[in-house]
Amino acid sequence: MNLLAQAPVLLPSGWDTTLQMALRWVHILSGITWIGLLYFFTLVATPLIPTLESPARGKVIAAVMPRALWWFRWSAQVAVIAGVTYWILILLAERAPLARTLLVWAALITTAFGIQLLMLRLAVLTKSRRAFVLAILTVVGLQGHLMMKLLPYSGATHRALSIAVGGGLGFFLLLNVWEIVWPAQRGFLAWCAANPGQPPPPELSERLRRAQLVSRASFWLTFPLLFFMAAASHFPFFVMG
Amino acid sequence: MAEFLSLLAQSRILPPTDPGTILDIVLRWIHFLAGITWIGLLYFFNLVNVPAMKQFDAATKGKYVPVVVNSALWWFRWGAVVTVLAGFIYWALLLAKEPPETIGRPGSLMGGVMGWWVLTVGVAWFINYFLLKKVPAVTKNGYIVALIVTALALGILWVVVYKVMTYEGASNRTIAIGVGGGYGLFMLLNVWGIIWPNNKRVITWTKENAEKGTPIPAEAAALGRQAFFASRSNAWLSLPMLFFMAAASHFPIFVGG
Repeated sequence: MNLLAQAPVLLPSGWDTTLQMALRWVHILSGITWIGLLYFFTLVATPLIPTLESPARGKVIAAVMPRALWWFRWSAQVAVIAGVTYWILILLAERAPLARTLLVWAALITTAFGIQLLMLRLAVLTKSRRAFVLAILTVVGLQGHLMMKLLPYSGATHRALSIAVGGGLGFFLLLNVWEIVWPAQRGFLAWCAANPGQPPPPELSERLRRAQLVSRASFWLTFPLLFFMAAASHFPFFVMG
Repeated sequence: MAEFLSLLAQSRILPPTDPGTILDIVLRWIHFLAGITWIGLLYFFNLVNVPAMKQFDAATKGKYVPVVVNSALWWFRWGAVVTVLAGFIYWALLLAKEPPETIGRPGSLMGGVMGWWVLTVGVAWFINYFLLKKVPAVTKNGYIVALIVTALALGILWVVVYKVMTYEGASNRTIAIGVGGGYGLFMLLNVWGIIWPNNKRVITWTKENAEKGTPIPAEAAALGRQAFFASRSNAWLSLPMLFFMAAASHFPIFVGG
């Protein structure tokens, strides 16, 4: 006993504990890179870079944005892959119906994302940033609600369901990054490189405007996303039976 | 299908209502949001800003630094303050429950642990500050800085685990936060003691240079270099820091003295 008191460091020996910890660490590091850069875009880059005078603005965009967007989109991939792997390990441990759970989960997110694509075509919603963000919050709120209703299985824990809802938001954000924000920004960067100092053509500026709406909605969605992530282990609000 | 429908009826949302659990999750949520802002911008500075700045001429820097870098540094340094404050309160709430009643009076060791913890991190940081600011040979070579910061980080780990938090009934959670939070406090001191004060002066000079053509003093290079090394040290320190933060609840490595 006395010897133990003097040597208090003892690594857990189970490989699953170690694997989970490694996944969690990768998830946290890549997640911070991803969401931290989303905060940089929302709080710093989007409001300030357009105020810079030419030619500095073009040079700043050419040097900062490709690097920031590279780390942004790939860390998003890593964060979601590590997170989903972790979630699947939990589902397996709980003997969840894996195929059904993943299919329903993915179907709900894809549906919400499809609704967002339709919303982006409605001028009445895209004219006001506030209206668009509120509409998206409603759609993903419904997505989370349906997950809570449809995903439970016998023996489902709060942790698995809280990650389903929070990770559902994360997957929705990943689709936003790769399907909307990055394609629009890639087009913008290519335009800037080919036509220095010129404002983008109307079609491209319209795409950029929509991408910025989606980016702003993503920013607000990180708040509930991180709540559910933290709640998974520390705030059990979901009760079975 | 019938089983599925009966599950629907059985599952429900029932959030915990005791104030302690609610306060914990609120602190944790604030800690997450502020921490992502802080460390996310730290990664922005290290992964994006440093290489991007190398491509800029003086005129572009004069436009970019006082506007974009200045604003990013605002969110960065205040995010750091909010993160550490929320984390520290959370840790204090845990310390107030230790040692458990079966062993001693809960909270009786709180003052001592916090005092020694602050002193340990403070001394380690001051050594780092002194070497970066006053010994020019140190900032000539990045490997020397890396060696110093590694030694100081191991020192903090050793003192916190083997000297400060050795009381009977110490939990893995409090010890792991003691180490990870110790690195966090070290990083906060780097932000407010080196990165921000140095950058503040460089930003003012860069702005005046762009607006009025006043020359940038030669001192700026040394200040920028110190800030760069403090920022790079923080980026590396964030890796063990986040490991210990996650280990607090999910990877019991400290069995307690």
